[in-house]
Amino acid sequence: MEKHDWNVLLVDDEREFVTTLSERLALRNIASRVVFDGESALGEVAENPPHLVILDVMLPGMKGLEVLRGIRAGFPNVKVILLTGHGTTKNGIEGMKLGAFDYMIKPLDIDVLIEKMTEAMGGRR
Amino acid sequence: MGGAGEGREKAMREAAFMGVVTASITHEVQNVLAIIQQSAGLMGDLLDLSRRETIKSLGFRKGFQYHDKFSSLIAAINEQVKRGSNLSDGLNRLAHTPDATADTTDLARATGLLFALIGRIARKRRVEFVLDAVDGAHVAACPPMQALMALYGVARVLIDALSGRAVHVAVTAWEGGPVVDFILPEGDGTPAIVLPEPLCDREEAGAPTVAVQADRIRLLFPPGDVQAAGR
Repeated sequence: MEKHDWNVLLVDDEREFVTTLSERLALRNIASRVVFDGESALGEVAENPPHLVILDVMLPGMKGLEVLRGIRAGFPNVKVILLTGHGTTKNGIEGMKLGAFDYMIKPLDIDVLIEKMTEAMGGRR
Repeated sequence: MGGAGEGREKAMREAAFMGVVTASITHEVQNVLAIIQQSAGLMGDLLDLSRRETIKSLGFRKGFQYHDKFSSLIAAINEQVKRGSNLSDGLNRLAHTPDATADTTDLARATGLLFALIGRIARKRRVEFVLDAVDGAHVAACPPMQALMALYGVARVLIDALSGRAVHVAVTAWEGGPVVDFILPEGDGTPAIVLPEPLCDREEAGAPTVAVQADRIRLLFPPGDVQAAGR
């Protein structure tokens, strides 16, 4: 399996979901860090800017779109893919207006996510 | 405000409460399904890995004899996640209907949503609604909840009357506005369909006109602005 030279940050308060997703990405040679809230996400981005952030929009406390604004303001080269639920696709559309690369609806297919990540990285492995 | 007006306002507040709570729960359900999906996915990943190597910590040995059975179980879990996700999506859209301020409805979307939601009720009576392919948006100048209630009113009568039959449903443009046709099954044994009077409140703006014809029940809606379609 090909090795991806990506630095990925996963942000979701659903711990089981995001840690399992991280494990599945690792099995596909994609290393990722995991945080569970918006404040920690901004801290991680500032400390070690990732290439790509997979960001849930329905976070408790600081909302996903606020985190997105923070990332776009301080780290415009960091690509962001938003995760939304069916009922919150308008957040995804709003996020794209704010500069998110794209949004995906949960539950999500990991192969489709990786395709989207590859696209966001401009085909870079 | 008169008694009827107060009663209506109370009913709207109650519908809005139900909508908010239900929408919130559907978000939780989507998260539950997402966890199940990723967990099943991880099981599948590890199973695939076990084809190539032994995973001692999980007790998987290369050539695991139940590989195919486990694979089919994981596929079944994923199918059910998809089913649950579709149901939750429909419920979420229904839950958001009372708080929609839109005064127009895309009838194709509303009809699809209704059949997704009442599929189980129809199946219990062995009635199948088949939504014919729709060409573009057909927007009615009718609030989403009112449109759904009118569509449900017809569907409910047909479910009770047409056990074991299929009903094709067509959303099309007609003179005077968009229509939804419930096309009655052909052949002997199709009972005369009697709709309750009134099916919907004709005083309300946007109320459809109902016509029971020999081969169909037609709901004719006032035409709406395509650009302003709420749902």
